[in-house]
Amino acid sequence: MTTSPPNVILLSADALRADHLSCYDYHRETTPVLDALATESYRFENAYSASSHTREAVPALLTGAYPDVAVNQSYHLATESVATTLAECGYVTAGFHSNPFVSRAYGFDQGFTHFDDDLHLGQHKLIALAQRALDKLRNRHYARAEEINERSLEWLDSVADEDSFFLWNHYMDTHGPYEPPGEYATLYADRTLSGRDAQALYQRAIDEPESITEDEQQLLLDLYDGEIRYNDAQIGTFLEVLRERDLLEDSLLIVTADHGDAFGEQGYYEHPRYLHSEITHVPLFVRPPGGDSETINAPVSTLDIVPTIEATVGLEDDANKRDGASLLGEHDPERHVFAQARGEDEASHLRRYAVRTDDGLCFCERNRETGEVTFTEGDRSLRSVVERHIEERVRIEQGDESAADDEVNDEIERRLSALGYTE
Amino acid sequence: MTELTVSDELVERIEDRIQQTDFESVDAYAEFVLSEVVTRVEREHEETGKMGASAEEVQSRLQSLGYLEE
Repeated sequence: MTTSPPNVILLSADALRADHLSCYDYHRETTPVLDALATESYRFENAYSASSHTREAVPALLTGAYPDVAVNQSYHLATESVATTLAECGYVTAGFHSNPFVSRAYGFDQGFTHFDDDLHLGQHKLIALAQRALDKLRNRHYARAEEINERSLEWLDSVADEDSFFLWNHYMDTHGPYEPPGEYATLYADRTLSGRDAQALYQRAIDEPESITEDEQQLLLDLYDGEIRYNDAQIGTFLEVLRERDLLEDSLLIVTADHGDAFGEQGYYEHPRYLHSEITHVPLFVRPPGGDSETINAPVSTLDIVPTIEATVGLEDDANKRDGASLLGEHDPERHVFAQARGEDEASHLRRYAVRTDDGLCFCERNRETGEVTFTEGDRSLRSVVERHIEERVRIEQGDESAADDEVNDEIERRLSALGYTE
Repeated sequence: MTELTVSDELVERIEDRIQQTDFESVDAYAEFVLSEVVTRVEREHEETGKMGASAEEVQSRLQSLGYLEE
């Protein structure tokens, strides 16, 4: 008798920074559900995203590859994601979210048998326009966790008992503008804001961070924490349904975030293209089938998520192929964890890199036009480590570009030959 | 199968051409070329339609999330 490989459930929250969760020593009880989940999971105290914003962080999370190869210059998915790998193994796969940056428009539906990005692509233009007008009227920026849960649970109803599934829910609630719904609006904040005012405050924090007063900064933090508590409750509801349906106990469950969010600590808000801890330190819980509990202090990366999934479902571990390592294996306390982010606008010629160890960090920028590397902050002792990493990444990225060119040339050659253009 | 009418001149040109290829007949060559062209046009149309309908919606969402200036 053969047993089906375990179901895989990946829950990610957008812009959820680790140090605002109560189980990561935050001063407010923002995450009772995740705190409880930690008692039956591996909780990673020092997990870092491979980047600081969705367009590079989610591709890394879904492919296990650094952003420089996971997406192309236009941020289209350029590497096989874990959804494709699992679909090839016979899994039914589904993704539910509402972040346009990782929508079908950028190829992120690849490998998913069912993919709902909350956009109305492919529908009649009039319906899409009407929906957009309605969203604007309701000040709706994304699908709330409640909607994501409903959609994904409905999909789970359609999965046959004998099928193994891979489910990815990506929640947007913790992303700005911060406007926690219902009772969560005043859970921490002493006043409420209209949707329009919340959006205006968030936009001003991004555009003119120096104009944000202490009072406004506190209000942004209070509202953000309210969103975290709402999202936590919704994750709780979702996990409860999975338990009731007996779909949690033997599954691999991973809960994390694509990146964090900043509140003026480094002079900026939101999550621009830097690599400071506020925007790269993420929560990470891995509940192996059957459950287990441990707090792990060794530094790890969101690049480790795909190898963890592959190891759990019994796929051969190809250590040479992967940049990360299974989170259920040995944890190296001496590990160097790297992150990267492409600059934008006037910094678009730069790529920023960071390395973290259990007690150190180092930041630098590489000018992609001149190849010059400039160290900006951090431990001098880690500079050579970053330099070696950058050399390797640049070599791989350039190698991939020439390999891709060869592929295109081969295809053109084949077609020309078929038409008799070449002898 | 449906027969198509093309000019004698084009048939002659294809006959000359296929001598340098693996195509065994004018029909096979013409079918291949037409199919290549139509597939490419369809693909481009599909891409444009998909992005055309979505571009404004994507922009609108990104703006509300603080990514684009009003």
